[in-house]
Amino acid sequence: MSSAYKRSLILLPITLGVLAFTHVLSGKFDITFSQLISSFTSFDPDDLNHVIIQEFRVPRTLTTILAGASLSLAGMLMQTLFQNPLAGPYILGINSGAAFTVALGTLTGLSFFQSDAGILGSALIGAFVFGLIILMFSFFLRNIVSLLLIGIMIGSFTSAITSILLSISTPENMKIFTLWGLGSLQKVESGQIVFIFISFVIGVLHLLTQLKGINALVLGENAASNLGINLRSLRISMISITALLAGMVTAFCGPISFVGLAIPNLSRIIFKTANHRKLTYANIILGAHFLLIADLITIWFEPIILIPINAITALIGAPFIMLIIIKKLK
Amino acid sequence: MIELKNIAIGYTSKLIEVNEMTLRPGEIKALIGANGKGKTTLLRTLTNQIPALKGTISIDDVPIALMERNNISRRIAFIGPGFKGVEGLCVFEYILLGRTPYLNQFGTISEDDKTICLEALRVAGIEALKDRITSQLSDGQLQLASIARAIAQNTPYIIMDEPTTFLDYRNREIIFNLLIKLSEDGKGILFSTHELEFVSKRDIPVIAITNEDQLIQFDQCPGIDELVNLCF
Repeated sequence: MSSAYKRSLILLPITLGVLAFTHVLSGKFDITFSQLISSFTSFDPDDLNHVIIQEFRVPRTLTTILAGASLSLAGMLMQTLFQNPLAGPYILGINSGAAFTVALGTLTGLSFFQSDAGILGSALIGAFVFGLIILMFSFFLRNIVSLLLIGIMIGSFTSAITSILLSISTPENMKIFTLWGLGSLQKVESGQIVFIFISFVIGVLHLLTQLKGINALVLGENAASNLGINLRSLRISMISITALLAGMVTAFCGPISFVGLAIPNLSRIIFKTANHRKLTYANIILGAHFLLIADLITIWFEPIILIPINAITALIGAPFIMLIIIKKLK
Repeated sequence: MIELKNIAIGYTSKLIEVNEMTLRPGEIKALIGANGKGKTTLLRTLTNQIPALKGTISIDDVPIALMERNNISRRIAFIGPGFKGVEGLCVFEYILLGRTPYLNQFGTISEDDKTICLEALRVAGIEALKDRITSQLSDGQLQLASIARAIAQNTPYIIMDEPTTFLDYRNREIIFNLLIKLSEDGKGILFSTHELEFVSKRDIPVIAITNEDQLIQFDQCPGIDELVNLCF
């Protein structure tokens, strides 16, 4: 059992590397491996291929890896916090918060809020404000199920307001909002990757310091408390990390669905463990795999049809996960 | 020694009045009382999950309310009722969680921790279950795994809420024998139960919650008839 884990420590990074290179090299313009290398070693701003690699391909690949890993980790935290395999990174309404501010921003009709930077800004504000609201509730709600219900209620309430905002919006603004809602991994510029990367690193480091509590939490809140865990500070940490990871990805890429729900379950099934040190690794690496594959499919279909990433994650993801569940659990 | 003196126990209104109650290392005591009389409330108060309404509980002369949560977990192991296992959590991982109060923030498990847990598996007699998934175990196996987890927690006291509910006759005997053995090895054991026959047959000292909401300690098990009249 643990030897399977050790094998995966070597095998999965290799397959991730292969996938990442395939991802960088795939697209409308044919790019060779040597061009990829030379774009790093001797960048030529007049070489179109070099510009494509540096400005579009590499950022997109890195975004995909970080988004897949971040959302999977956020989903893992929420599933453990609520002891519910149906929880995901958006269960506390972070995506509805972002959607609300994006809709509000585009409605103003100001061109800034319709630009990529404006949408990013409003989504960031929405994700974090709603993360903070949930965090405030978690301070005084003792019961974790109440917190879950409050999160879902806030999400529904906000979505209702968003739909009212959209109904009084112009068709153009509605289109901007809809496009954001479909999710996209190609809008992130090379300079912005740093923000996603830093928040990912902060999130993971903070998560590692909470591993003892998170592991004990699988036995339930009472048992964890009896094992000496401070539930309140653990809960606040888990919600903060989720808000940071999911909020950052949602702001930059839109609400990418399914990954954060499926990968934590897949990780538990494949690695057969409740040890969150192993599960953290599993979610990072499997989440990155999954989103890279999903995005590769959208790239391959691009000459024929533009498929939104959200359609692919569910379209290929759902049957695949079902197959694994049926095979592993009989 | 766990010591209670002149204490009122309950969630918001008083359930039980305790004049005196003690549990020393090496002792085993059965907590008897009718449904709804506050057995679980008492056990939860003892483990500082809810505060006492009046008075102080002390462990080895230190008031429990002043102790760090982690410190309490190094003194008292608690086994709640109705653990059903967790998907993906194998028995050995479950027992390792008993080491939680001794781990750093990162949850790093040392070789010593593993040795202690292997020994706990052996004491509970469930070495064969080491790699089994907890959600696939029977109630009897789960209870033994929970006791092994409490042993791994390496506390002078173990408190259990109805450890033999849902168990068949043979498994009840196994659990009771194990609890008695642990007390003989020096642990202080307190468990709530409705198994008056078992308690009386093994002559286990009884703490009874009476119909008048008082707590009475018996050094020897009184007759079943007397207990029934007193408590039910």
